Amino acid sequence: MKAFLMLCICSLLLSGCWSSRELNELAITVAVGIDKAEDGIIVTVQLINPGDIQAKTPTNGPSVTTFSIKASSVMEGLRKITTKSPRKIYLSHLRMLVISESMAEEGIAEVLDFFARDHEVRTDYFVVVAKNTKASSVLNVLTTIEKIPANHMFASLDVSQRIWAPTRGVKLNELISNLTSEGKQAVLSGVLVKGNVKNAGDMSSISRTNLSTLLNFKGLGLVQ
Amino acid sequence: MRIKKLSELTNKSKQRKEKADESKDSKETSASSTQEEQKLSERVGDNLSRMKKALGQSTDLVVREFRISIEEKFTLGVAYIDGLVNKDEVEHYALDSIMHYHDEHLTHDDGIVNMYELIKSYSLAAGEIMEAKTLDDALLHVLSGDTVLFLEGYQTCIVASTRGWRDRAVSEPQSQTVVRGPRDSFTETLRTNTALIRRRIKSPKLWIESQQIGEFTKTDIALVYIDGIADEQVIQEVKERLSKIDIDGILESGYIEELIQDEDYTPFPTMHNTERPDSVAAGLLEGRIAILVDGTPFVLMVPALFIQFFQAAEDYYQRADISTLIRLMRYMAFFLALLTPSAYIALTTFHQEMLPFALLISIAAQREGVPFPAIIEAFIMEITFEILREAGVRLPRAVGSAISIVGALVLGEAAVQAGLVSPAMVIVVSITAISNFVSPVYDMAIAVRMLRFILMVLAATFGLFGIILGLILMILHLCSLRSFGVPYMTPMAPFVKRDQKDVLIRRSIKKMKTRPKLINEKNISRQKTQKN
Repeated sequence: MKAFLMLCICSLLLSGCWSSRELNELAITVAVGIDKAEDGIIVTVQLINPGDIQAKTPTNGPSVTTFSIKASSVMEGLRKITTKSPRKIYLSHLRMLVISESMAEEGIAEVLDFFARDHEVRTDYFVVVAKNTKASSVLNVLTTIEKIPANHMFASLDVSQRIWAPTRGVKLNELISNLTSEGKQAVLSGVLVKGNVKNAGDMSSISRTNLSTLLNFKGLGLVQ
Repeated sequence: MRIKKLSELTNKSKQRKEKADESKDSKETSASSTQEEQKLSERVGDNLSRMKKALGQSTDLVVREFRISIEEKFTLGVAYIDGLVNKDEVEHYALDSIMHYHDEHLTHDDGIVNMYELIKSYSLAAGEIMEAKTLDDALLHVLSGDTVLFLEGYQTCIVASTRGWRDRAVSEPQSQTVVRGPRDSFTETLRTNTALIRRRIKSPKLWIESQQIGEFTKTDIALVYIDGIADEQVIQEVKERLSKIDIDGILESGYIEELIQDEDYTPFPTMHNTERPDSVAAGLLEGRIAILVDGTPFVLMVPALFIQFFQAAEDYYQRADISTLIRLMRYMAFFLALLTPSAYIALTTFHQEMLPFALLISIAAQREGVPFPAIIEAFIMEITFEILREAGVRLPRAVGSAISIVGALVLGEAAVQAGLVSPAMVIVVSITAISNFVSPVYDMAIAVRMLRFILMVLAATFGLFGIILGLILMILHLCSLRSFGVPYMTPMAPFVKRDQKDVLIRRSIKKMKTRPKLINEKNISRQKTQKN
C-alpha cells in the first residue's frame, strides 16, 4: 500500500507540469514561408508581437516580426530559428503556408510531409504559391485593415473565392487529399507582391491611404 | 439497497445503545448515593439558602420568603432568575394570586388544609405548572427561566412557567432571501421557531420531540417531523445519534451537525440548514426531519441530498418555467464557480490550440508583461478575493465602504495597471466569485470554494486531463456519500425516474404528485384527488 502510494505521489510530482507552456513563452506563428536555396531551403516565419496587437493601447511597432533561416529541412529550420527568436515557434495557429514558385516547381512533398505529420500543426490553413517573388518577401509585407498580414491573406483568399472566385483557397488537408487522389489534380492559388517590394516591411508603407505595397492573389497553378 | 443500509445503521446504533445503557447504569448507581442530599428539605428557608449556595450567591437569583394565613403563619418561598422571567407574570399570576386567594378563601376553611394541593390546583394562576422533587431539578427549572415556589412542610416544590426573556423579534432572513415569498425567519428562541413551523402546518401529525443536550448548556433540542410521512427508521437513527452526544455545550446547530453527520471527511454538506420556516415546512412535507436548536436561527434538516442545495424556496413560488430556467442556470453557475479558473489555466498553459485564434491573440496580448505563470496569477487573484470576502464578513459595518473601495480599485484596476495580473484573469476571478454566490445554500458554496483550488492545482500540473481526473474523483466521492442512510446523489445515482420532476427542472405543482422516493417510502401521494 505504501509503495503504491509512493508510486502515485511520484507519478504526480515527478512528471511535473510536463508540456505546459505559458502564453508568453510561445512565439505564435501565423505564417511560414518556404524558399529554395542552393543547398536546402530557407524557412521564414511570421510571428505575432503580442504587445503590439492590443486594441486598447496600440504601439507604433509592427504587429508581426519575421525571421528567416537557411536549413536542410523544415523541421531543422523551425528549431534552428530559436537562435534568432527568443521564443519557441508555436505552429498550432498557423494561417498561411507560402511556398515559392521555384520550390513548388521542384516538388513540395517533403515540405507537406512535415506539415502533415507534425503534432503541433493543424491542417486548416491555406497553402499558396508566391509568384515571381520569394516567399520571404510575401511574409514581409505589412497590411492595414487586418493588422496581422497572415490573417489578411487568409481573409482575402477566403472572401475572394466566395465572392469573385478567381482564386481557390486550398487548405492543407484538401491539398494532400487532392494530390493523392486518382484522376484529380491539385491546384494552388498564387500570390503576388505588387509595388515596392523593398520597403514592404516598413511601418511607413502602411501609413498612407494608397498603399505602396500590396499582396494580390492571382492565378491558379496546377501541382503535379 | 437502502433498506439494507438502514438496517445496518440500526444494528450499529443498537450496539451503541447497549454501551450507552451500561454507562447510564453506572451513572445511576453513583447518583443514588447523592440523592439523599439533593432532596428538598421541608423548610422553606433551608431550600432557599441551599439554592443560593448552589449558585454561588449569584446576584441575578431573586429569592423571597413570604407568608399567607396570618393565624397559621404558613410560609412560602419563591426563587427565580432576574432577566430570564417575565416579571409581570411572576408578580401578577404567581405571587399576587396566591396572596389574594388566601384572603378570600383560606380563612373560611376550618379543616386541615392540604396547602400544596390548594395552591397548585386552586390559587396559582400560571398557565403551566410542574413539580420538582430535588434541588438539581429545581435549579434547572430556575435557570431555564421558571419560577420555583417552595412550601413549608412539603418536600416537593411547585414550578410555574414564567419564561420570558428579551429576544429578537422575527425578522427577515439574512442569508436566504427571496423576492417573492414569506419574509419571516427563525429567531434564537426555540419556542418561537416551533411556533413558526406550526403556523404553517396545522396538522396534529406534526410532532415535536424535545430533549436537552450539553452538560453545562442544557440546550433545548427539538426534533420536528410529520408522523406518517417521515421515515421511522430515519427518526430512530437521528434520535440514536443525538443520544450519543456527550459534550459540555451546544451553542449552535453547527455543533449538532458535526456531531451527528455521516461523513466527517467531505467538503460537501450532508445536512441541510436553513433559516426559513417555509423551507422547513416544505422539507417536513417531503418527509424530512428538522432539528431545531435553541439559541440559533439555523435549523437542520435531514436527510439532505445534493440536489436540495440547488433548490431555492422561491423556485416553488414562481412559475414553473422561470424556476426551471433559473435552476438550470444555478447548476451552470455551480460548474462555472468550480471550473472557470482551472479551465483558464489549463487552456492557456496546455491547450492553446483549443482557443479560437482571435481569443488566443487577445489573451496573449494581455499576458504580455505579466511576470507570473498563469497558476500563480490565478492564485494571487483568488486568494486576494478570498481575503477580501472574509474581511467583508468580519469587518465592522462602519469601515465596510472603505474596504469595498480598496477592494474594487486596488484589485480590479490597479493590479492590472501595475502589470501584476492580466485583465482576463480579473474577469475569470469575478465570474467565479459571482457564480459562487448563486448557490441558495451557503454550505454548498463553501464546498465549491475549497474544491476550486484543488482543481486549479490539478489543471496547472496536468491540464484538462487533470481537471477531468479531479471531476471524476469528485463524482465518485459524491456517489459514495450518504445522509442518514439515503444516498447523497439521489435521485440521479441511484436514478429515480419519478423524482426527476424536481431535479434539473421544476415541473408545475399540478404534476408534482408524489413525494421524493427514498426519503419517504410509504406516504407517497401529495395530491389525493389525482391518481398517479
